[in-house]
Amino acid sequence: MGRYVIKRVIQAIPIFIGITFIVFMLSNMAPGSPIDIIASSAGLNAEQLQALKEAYGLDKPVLVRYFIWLMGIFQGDLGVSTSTNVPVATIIGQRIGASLTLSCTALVFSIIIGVFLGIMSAYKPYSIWDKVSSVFAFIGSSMPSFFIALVMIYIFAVKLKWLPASGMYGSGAKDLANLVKHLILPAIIVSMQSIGGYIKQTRGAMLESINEDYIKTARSKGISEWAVTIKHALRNALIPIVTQIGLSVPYIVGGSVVTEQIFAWPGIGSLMVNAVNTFDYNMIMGITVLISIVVLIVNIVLDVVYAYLDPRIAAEA
Amino acid sequence: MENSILEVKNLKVDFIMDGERVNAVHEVSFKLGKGRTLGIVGESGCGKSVSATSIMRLLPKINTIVDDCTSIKLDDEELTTLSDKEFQKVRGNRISMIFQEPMTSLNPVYTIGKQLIEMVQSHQKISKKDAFETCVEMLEKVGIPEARKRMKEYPHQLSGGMRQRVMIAMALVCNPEVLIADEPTTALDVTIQAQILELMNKLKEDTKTSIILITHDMGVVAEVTDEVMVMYAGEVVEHDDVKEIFHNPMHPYTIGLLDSIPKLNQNTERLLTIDGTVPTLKNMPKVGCRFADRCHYCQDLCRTESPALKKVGTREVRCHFAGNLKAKEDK
Amino acid sequence: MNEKVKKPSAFKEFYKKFIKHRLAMISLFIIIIEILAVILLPLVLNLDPYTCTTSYDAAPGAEHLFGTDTIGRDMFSRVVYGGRTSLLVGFAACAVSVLIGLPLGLIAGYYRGTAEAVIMRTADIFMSFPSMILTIVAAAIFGSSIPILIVLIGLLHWPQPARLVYGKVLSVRKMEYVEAAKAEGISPFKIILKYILPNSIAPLWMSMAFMVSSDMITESSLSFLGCGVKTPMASWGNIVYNAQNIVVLRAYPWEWIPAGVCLIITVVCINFVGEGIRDALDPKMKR
Repeated sequence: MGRYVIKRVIQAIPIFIGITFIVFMLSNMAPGSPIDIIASSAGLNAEQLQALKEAYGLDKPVLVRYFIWLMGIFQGDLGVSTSTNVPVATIIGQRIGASLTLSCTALVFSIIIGVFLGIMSAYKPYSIWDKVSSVFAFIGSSMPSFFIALVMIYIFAVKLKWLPASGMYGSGAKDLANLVKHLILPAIIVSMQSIGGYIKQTRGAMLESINEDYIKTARSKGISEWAVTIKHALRNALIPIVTQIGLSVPYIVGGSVVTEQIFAWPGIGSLMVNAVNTFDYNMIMGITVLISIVVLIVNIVLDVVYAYLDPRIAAEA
Repeated sequence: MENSILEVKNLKVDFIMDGERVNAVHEVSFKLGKGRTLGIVGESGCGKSVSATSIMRLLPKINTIVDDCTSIKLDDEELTTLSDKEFQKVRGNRISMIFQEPMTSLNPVYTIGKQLIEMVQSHQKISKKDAFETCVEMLEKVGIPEARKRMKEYPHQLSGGMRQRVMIAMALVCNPEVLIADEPTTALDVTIQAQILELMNKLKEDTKTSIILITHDMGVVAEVTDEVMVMYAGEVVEHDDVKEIFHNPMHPYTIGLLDSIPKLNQNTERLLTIDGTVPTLKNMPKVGCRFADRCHYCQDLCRTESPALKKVGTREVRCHFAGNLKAKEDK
Repeated sequence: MNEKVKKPSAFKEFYKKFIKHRLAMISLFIIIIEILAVILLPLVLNLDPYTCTTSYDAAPGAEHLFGTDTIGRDMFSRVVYGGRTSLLVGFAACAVSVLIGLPLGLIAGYYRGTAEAVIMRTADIFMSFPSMILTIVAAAIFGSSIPILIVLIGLLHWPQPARLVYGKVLSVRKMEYVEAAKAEGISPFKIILKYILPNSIAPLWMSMAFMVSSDMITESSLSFLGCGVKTPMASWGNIVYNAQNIVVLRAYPWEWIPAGVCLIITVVCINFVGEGIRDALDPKMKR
């Protein structure tokens, strides 16, 4: 198992380098870098421009600069935000808690609801559960989350005044109850897109494993139908469900960008939109690197979970 | 006949296929004597597996109807009136079953030990440690070397023959009165087949468990069974002691089955086969003998009147002309 | 030879099954109406989505069917022109991702080896990274005119068609007619074009509609964030952007709800058509 984990970590390194390299190159191609802005506004001549570039290390070849930047990342140095002059790492540090709160809540919520509905609709095909699930699944894949979010704000915050429309604590106390109140709407919106995927995947995997021979064996043992469903069918269906978690994490992270913006949630997503609108490239790169690290860690964790769930995988490695 | 442990009367099973009710098993009745082995033989689609699985109540409820007049008695206790919950205590405990596909019949994510212990613990109040010991003992009985070590292994680490041994151990670990074996050797190599059959013979002596062996292979029947029930198109066509049947088959279908066994001492140019195939459930003849279309001895009567199951001594046979067959002129 | 796999009868059979799917037929009808509307209405009616009139935030009425927005532009015209943008980006971006993904999937599946490893690993990376983030970054860097958006969204969504085709090619390449063609010495390019492609494309047809709708949602989300189509150009996403202003959200629902409803109807209809196509091509998938 230990060797298996190490192998997965080593495999993740080239992916990390690939993503960071693409991001770095993209930012380099970007127009409107701070240097350009200074140069054009101050009317610098070629010599002065060269001096400025040397001061910022911009005269070096792009690969060298990438390498320097990468080394900086490993020391926790993501550069300075050009729009606020505060180190990128500091700002991200202030914001990451809010984003993790929202994303993890949404992830857990969508797994619980989606897997539950998926099991129920496989356990009782063509029942009311099955119908509810297919409607849910269809809504998830067909609704633009930003519009639904606005409609929900309109209904629950503006008209009914049940829930707050924006912020993480608003002007209220920084306690759990207040947080939960602010969390409900954004968490529903972020998880909405993923629930459908979990239902489909769980239902399909359950129906497939229910038709396997070992389920017939389990039934012939004289254990209850519920135990057959949970202990035997679901246990095997967990493997594709874990795959679905891997597939839904990018959507949850991407979806929180839109949702954080709408609900003025003080997280990484709204920071990202700000950074893009202010051409703050250090910030954009910093956030992208952070997200890719999170995504890679999630994938490694899932690989380990796979090996735990399916003894055949660890044996192959 | 000695007293019977399992008595099946008028077993009738219908399926709903595309909204249409079709008959899969028709009026199957038999008694299984204590400690005896009954072979149920027939081609695929003849209803032998359906009969067995319906005794175990393992058919999907959604599209299966077991007729009300059916009676299944285990040691004189009626099973058909039990609720599903009550029947759970019978299944695996008093009647257990092994299946055709040892490669896929064990759950791939659990160890052999866990799956065996689950069986024991769902029917007996017993500590995990004691259950473990019981299972190790059982594995040793079915001839698995290093049983203690095997308990901690996963199915994929075992060969097909070993897995079928595990399945047998699992089926027998609760000392059931009846074991239903559905084509237990079909998926295995020939040498392994022989080993498994030998093992079943040996276990039968040791445990006094009665066995229903479902197979399409007359060779297997000859090797391990005491009596044979031949099924065709959902009906019993012939039923008697194994020696009697092999010695004097009366139903044309049984004759066909026996003729199609390859024999080493005969110098036949090619194997005899039975022409045609079993009629599908939807195309079952409504009147007349269900075997008529494939029968070499078919007469006009066979087309118009369904034969009843006749008693000839110990023999039961479903043919108008049993004991009096005349080959058709031109076939 | 087996080369005529896409026989006319195959299409006929598909057509026969598809027209029986009532929901899909109604949806297809709605989409066709919609496409005709966004193309023809500006030609027939005198629609002007750009000029600011002096009636600000006017409620829907005879003069302005959907009212006007905060700077006095006619909302009906904006919704129609927004539909042009959203439909165009949705379909075109899907075409771009198929143009990129299809050949890559064919190559990866047919040649296996290094090509497979490089292409499919790259696809994995793309799939595991939130494409929303990449699109935002790329749109910020390369600009967000409609052609650029089409290319960007299409480019970032290439792994899906690639994977679908690749999965099918793996089984098709082992077929006897492919082996036979290889034995006859037909060039790999021709084999892929004549034997592999026609037999591997079905999964792509089945998912194409869902790709279009998801591309439309991506475009509108980007435009909603202010990172996609920018005003004065109209897109359903940037019309809904108006509602980020709490006053508009609260008091002027006509300034954002029609565009959002149009988007939902379109996406839902496209997905129903997608289900119709899927059921007609693969009855086993039906639920």
